[in-house]
Amino acid sequence: MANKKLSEHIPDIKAALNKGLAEHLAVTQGKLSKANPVDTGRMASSWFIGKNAPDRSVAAERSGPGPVEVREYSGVIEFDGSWYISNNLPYAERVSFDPKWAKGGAGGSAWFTTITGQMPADLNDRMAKYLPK
Amino acid sequence: MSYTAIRAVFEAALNTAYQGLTTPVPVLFDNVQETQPNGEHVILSIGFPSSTEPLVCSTGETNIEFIRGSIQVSCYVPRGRGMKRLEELAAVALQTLVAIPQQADPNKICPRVGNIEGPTPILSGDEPYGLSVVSAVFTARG
Repeated sequence: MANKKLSEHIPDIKAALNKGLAEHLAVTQGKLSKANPVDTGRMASSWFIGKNAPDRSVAAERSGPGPVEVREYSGVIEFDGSWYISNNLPYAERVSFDPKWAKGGAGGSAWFTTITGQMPADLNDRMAKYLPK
Repeated sequence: MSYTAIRAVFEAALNTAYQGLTTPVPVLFDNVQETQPNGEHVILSIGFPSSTEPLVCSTGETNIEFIRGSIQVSCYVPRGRGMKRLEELAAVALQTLVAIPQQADPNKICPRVGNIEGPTPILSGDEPYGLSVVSAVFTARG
């Protein structure tokens, strides 16, 4: 390890960054879905990962309560470009920020800001886990 | 260090700030008031999403712990009356959060407020109120 040239470390670093970011996005998407207050489960199933632009699709409308489904990103997540986790339902902003709408939800009344506020520290921890020492 | 002691630092400071306004604003705490007022009010939510941080060091009988938390201050005013009052109430939250680390705490809790997000105005939908949200992450040692 000590005798390796700097250029020989680059593939390891790239792989670690890819792995760390992919895990971070998937785990954060799952956290948002799990903490999202649920009525029919449509909003909790509408957190999607997008590359270079938010994925503006939404889960199909429901007539009653249904399961929460977390849709995995279909491509490969790599440490380049801009990545988004978004929810495009018209009431998503209100449910995310307004404690009166979040009351009784699994993640508490401040579920959204709690998750987003911890994201930088979470990402830092994940990168530290995968980057070569 | 207990969650209660950490919570008390933030709740006491913010409640004092809102009660000290020319027109005092009621503050609602987690799991206290069930009925929300119709007029101006503030909802204070505190969470502890990460309680697995290591002890910073051991000092014999007591340990110095490190806990991460988050706080959200939601300011409500009647809808359709402009942004001035919403932004005034949000500014009180910002000023108080910035000042908290400088206050002496009887329980020797040492909070550090990190990145503060907001004020984020939420005016979508047809609720009879406007909302502005200020949120922040913090760490506490004690």
